[in-house]
Amino acid sequence: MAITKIIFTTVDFFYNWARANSIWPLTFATSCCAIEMMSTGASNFDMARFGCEVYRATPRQSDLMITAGTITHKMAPAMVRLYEQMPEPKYVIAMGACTITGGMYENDSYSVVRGVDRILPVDVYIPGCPPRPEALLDGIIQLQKKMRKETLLDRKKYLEAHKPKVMLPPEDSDILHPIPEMEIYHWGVQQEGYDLTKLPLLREK
Amino acid sequence: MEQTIMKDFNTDTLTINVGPQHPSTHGVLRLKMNIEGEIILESEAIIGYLHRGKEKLAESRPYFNYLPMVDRVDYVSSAFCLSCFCYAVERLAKLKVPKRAEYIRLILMELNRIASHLIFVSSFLLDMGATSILFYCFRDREKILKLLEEVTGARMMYNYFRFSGVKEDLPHGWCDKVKELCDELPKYFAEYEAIINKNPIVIARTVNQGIITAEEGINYGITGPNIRASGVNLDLRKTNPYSVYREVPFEVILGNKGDALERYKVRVKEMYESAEMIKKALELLPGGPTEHLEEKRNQCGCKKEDCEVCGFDTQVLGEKINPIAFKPPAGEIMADVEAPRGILSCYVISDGTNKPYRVKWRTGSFSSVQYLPALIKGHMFADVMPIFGSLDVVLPEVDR
Amino acid sequence: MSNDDNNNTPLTLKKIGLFLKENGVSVQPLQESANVVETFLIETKQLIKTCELLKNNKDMKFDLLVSISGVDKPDENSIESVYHLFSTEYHHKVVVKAKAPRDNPVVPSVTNLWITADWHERETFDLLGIKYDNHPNMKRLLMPDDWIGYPLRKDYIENDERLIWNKR
Repeated sequence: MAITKIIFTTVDFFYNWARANSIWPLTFATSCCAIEMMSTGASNFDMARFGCEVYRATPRQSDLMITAGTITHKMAPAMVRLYEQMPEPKYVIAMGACTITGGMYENDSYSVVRGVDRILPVDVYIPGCPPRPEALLDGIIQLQKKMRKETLLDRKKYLEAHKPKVMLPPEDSDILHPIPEMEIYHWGVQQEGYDLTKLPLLREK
Repeated sequence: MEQTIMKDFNTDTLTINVGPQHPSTHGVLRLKMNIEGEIILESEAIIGYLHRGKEKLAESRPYFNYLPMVDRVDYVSSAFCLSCFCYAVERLAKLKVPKRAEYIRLILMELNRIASHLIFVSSFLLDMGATSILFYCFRDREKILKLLEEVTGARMMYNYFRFSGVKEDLPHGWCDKVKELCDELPKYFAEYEAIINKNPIVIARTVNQGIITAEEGINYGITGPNIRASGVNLDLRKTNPYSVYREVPFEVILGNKGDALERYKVRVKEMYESAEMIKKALELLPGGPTEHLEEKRNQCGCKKEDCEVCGFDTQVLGEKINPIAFKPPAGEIMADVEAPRGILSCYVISDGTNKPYRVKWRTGSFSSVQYLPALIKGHMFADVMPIFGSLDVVLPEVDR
Repeated sequence: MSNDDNNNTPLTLKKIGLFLKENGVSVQPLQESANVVETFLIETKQLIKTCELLKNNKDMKFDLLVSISGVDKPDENSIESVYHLFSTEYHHKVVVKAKAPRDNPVVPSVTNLWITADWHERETFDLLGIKYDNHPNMKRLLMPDDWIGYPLRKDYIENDERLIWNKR
C-alpha cells in the first residue's frame, strides 16, 4: 500500500508539473472580456511567460476553457457541447462578472445565464467587468497552483463535489441544455460506452 | 476538356456550419453554408448568441444607471456609445454642454477610434493567419489605453461622459503626453503599412474580394469606412456635424474600389487623420491644459459667465444633475454618431418619468452582418474570413 | 414643460410633409423635441406609397434606411413601427411612423425598397411581435426559435417554465 502511494505521488508530481506549465486554453470568447484576453496574450502582458500562450481553436486539443464574456440561453448549449468535446482533465476559468453571477444583467435580463457555474464546474473565478489582464494572469497562476496540488483521484471527487445543482427543465428544449440524458456526462465523469455520436443532437429548425 | 473533367467530378452540395464558436468570427456569429466543392452556393447568418436585452433593461433603470450598460453596447469603442446616448438625452432635456467638455469628448473619441482600428488591423490579419501584426498593434494600443485609463480610470469601459459634460477634468500633464503620443503614432502606422501593404499573400487574398458597390451598399445600410471605401462621401462628422467637429479641420478619407484591401487602407488612413485631429483639438481646447487653467483661475477668480478662464466654456460639467430626480421632458429624439463601424444611432423616447420609455440602438455592424451572405456568395470558402474580417464587425453590437 | 411648448407652437407641415400631402398621402405631423427632424404619422395602408415617394423622388432621395424600431403603447392599445430615413445626397432626415392595433399588429414590409429592412423587421417581429406583410423570411432573429412571448412588450413577464433553473 505504502509503495503504491509513493509511486502515485511521484507520478503525480511529474504529471502535474508538465500539465501546469503547458496549459492550452481554448479560444472561447463571447464579448468584452475577449479583448482583455487578447491583450493578455499579446505584447506588454505576454501570457507566454507562464506557459499558457498556445490558444487552440479546437476544443479537442485544449485543456482550459476561459469563459470570457456573457453567456446567453442561446449560447449555453454550444458552450456545453464545447466543454464536452474537451479531453480530460479539463478546467474552467470564469472570467468576468457576467460569467460569475450574470453581472449587471443578473436582476432583470431575460436572456442571460446567471453564471456559468450553473452549467459547468468552475475552478477559478476572476471578478471584474472586464478583469484587467493582470487579473487574468493571476487567475491562471492560481489555477496552476491548484493543478500542482492535485492527484488524479482527487480530481474525480472534486468534480462530483462541485456538481452544480441544476433544476432540470420539464422537457428537452433548445433553450436549455443540459437535457436529461446528458446530465451525467456534464461534469467530467464519463461512463462506459460514452459515445458522442449517440448523444441527442441540437435540433435544427 | 475542362468541361468533361467537371462533369466527372461533380460533387454533391454539402451543408456546413461555422460557429457560433469559431476563432475568426469575432465573437459568436454562426454561418450555415451550402457549399459545392469549395464554392459557396448560399449561406445564412444566424445571430443572437449574445443578445443581452439592453433595450429592455433601459426601461427599468433611471437614465444615470443606464450609463454603465451603454459602455457595453460596443466594447471596442465605448466612448462613441456613451457620447451618442449623452447627445440624445442632452437634446431631449435641453442641457447645455460647455465647449471644454465637448473638446475633451472629441479627443477621447478620436483616441478610441485609433484603438478600435488597431483591433481591426490586428484581427483582420489574424484571420488570414498572420499573427505577428497583432503584437505590433497591441503594443501601440496599450499606449493609448494607458492614457485613456489615466483620464477615465478604466481600460475599456470608460463611463466618463455625463449628461451635459464629462465626469472630471483632465489630469495634470495629460495633454503633453497625448501630444507626444500623437507625434509618435504615424511612425508606428507606417511600420504596419510597411509590413502589410506589399505582402503578396495579403494582396492575393484581399484584392477584388468582396466588392461592395456604392448603390448596393447603401441599399443594405452599410455605413462608415466600409461604404467610404466604395467612394460614397458619407461621414456624419462632415455632413451633419455634431459636437465640435465643425471647428476641427479634417479630411474625409475616401476609397474607390470597395474591395477588402481598400477597406483596410481607408481605416489605416483614418488613423493618421485622427492623430492629426487630436493634435489640432488639443491646440483649440478652451482653457488649455488643466495645470495652466487652474493656475490662471487662481489668479483671476472673477467667476463671470463670459470670462476666458472661469467662464462657462472652460467648465467640464454644464449642470449638476440629481441622478435620481433627473426627468427629461416627454418627447423623442434620435442621435447619430459616426462610430468606427458606421453610423451609431440611439433612439430615446421619454415619457417624463426618470426612466426612458424606449431605447433603441442602431449599429453599423448589424447591417454589415446582414450583407455578409450576399457578399460571400460564389466565393471560395477560404475567402470568407478575409471578407468578413474586412467588414470590421463586433458581434455584441449586432446582438445588443 | 414640453407639453406647454407643444400647445404654444401649433404643428405645421414643413417641406417634406407638404410634399407628401401634395402627392395624396394623409400626413399627421408630430412633435419631435429639439424640432430638428420632421416627424409624422401616416396611415398604415399608405406606408409603401409614402416610402416609394420618399425614396424615388428627385428632391427627397432617402436612400438609407437608418433603422426600424417598434414602440409598444399599451395605453393607446397600439404598436408603432418607426422608420428613420436619411439621404446620403442631401444629408437630411425624416421620421415616419405607422400604427397597428396591439392584438394583431400587421404592417406592410418595405424590404422591396430597402434590403436592409429585412433584418430590422425580423428584429422588430422578434422583440415586439409586429408581423410584416410580404416579408420573405418572417422568423425570429435574436431569440431562440422556440422562445415564448415578445420581450420588448411592456407587459412581458418571463414565465417560461423551462427557465426555472435560472432562479436563485
